[in-house]
Amino acid sequence: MLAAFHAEILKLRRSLALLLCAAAPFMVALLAGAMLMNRDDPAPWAMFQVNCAALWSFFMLPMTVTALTVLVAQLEHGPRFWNHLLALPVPRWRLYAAKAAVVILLVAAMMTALWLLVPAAGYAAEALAPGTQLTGAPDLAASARLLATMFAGSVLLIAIQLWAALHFKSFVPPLVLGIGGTFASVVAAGARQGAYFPWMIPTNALAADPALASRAIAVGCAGGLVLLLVMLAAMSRREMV
Amino acid sequence: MELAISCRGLTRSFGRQRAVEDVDLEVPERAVYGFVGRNGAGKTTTIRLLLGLLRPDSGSARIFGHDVARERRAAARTIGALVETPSHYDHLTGRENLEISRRLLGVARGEVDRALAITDMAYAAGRRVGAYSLGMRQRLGVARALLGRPKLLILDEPTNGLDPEGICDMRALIAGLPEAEGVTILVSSHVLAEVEQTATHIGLMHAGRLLVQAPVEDLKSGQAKRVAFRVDRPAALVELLAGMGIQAEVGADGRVAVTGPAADRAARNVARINACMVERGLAVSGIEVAEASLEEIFMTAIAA
Repeated sequence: MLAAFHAEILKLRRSLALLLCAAAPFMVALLAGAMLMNRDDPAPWAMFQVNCAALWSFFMLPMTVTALTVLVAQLEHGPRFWNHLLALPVPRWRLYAAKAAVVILLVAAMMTALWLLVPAAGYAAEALAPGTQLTGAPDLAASARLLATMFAGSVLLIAIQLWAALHFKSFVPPLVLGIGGTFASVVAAGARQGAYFPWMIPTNALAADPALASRAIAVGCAGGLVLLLVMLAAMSRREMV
Repeated sequence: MELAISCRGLTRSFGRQRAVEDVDLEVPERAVYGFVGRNGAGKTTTIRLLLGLLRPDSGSARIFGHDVARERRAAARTIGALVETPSHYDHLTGRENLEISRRLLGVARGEVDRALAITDMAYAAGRRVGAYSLGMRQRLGVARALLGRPKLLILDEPTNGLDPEGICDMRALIAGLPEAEGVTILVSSHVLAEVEQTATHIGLMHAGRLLVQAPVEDLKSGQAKRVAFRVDRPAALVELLAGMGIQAEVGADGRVAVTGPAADRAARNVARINACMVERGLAVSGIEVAEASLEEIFMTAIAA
């Protein structure tokens, strides 16, 4: 398993997937910093951090997961590399499991980068625009808890998007699924059951109802892990026609 | 002789279309087996079945005794394969591409250098594959197939799209591998002349069926030749040959040609025929004994 994981890591060198992982949290921090600079009144650090997390979970996370899973899957689909990989004397589930592990790791890395970039964006905004003022101090522990909860809730979204990206040779179906899911979550946000909508689940980390939020996050995490196992079984049995 | 590949009644359909039907492929160890047939004849489907990428509807395939359906990984351990187009990660270097396969195979680090040396690709190993020519990509594909010292190499259309120089290079590489590396090679191609130059055995696929399968020498020796005579009085020669029990006819170019089963007899007795012609006062300006080419043999098989 470790060999398959190392091979996946090696594939990421100079890849667009890595570039995306660096750009996505940076763009959220940049946007949040720019919005902060346009404020006339002082804002508390806690609110700034929550706003950044909301921006991330509601829009950037599902879109980035969509793009990331497509880019990672296209590494093989593009040059028809599956023929070679699946002909190797390696259990096929390991190849897919390594891919899933790498995607999950990259999402975790993006969240970690965001956790660090948000305070940096706040300080940069204060330095660049003298009128900008953040009150209090950044609460890194609270921010870490919030992002970790979002990460746990995003496993189901990752599993769905990864399966679609691996299943279809074309990047169009998973892209349509991801964009559709992200926009549908706007509608789902208004309904109580919408909390369990996979593209919406990570946002539950910000929900006012802690019980509902916990249930939704648990569904996102456990459901995602179960779906990944089903995906491994299904993909391992698939023929390369 | 041990068989590297042994298939029995291998059959696979896609919907109503039968892509491979009742194929009994037998590839002896250390052979260079030319697997020929037109595009769409079923070569690649057969190769996919051998690699376990597809499951057969019926029949079985064994690689060095391992049943591909039941012992896929044991069979795969003996195979290095290049399937269809040379697929590589373009954003990585040649060496990094091989390193990925090396890690997955769990073989020694030195294997990458060895494979690069065999395929004469060491000079470009540090370059990104995206900048490689098609010939280099094919060679890198062969290098990847050689990782882990497989006993069987399966190369699907390795000369596809190559320029004449690239084809020569690839041909030389394939021809040298059984001797240098002790591998058995199954090389598929839709260009018969291409395979004819390197193969020790040939199998012809047509419309999903394996029509002919034999050592190249057996194929050629068992076939009728074509014998042609150029003389001043063709009609007299036809009469002479008829007297010897050999049927001949005068062609549009004035030559007396013996074809079909009688050609073998004529070829064996060409000296005696020549002596008889001289004895009868025929002026002989040329005698030509031509071997039937594999192409002619296969065209006959397809037509049959």
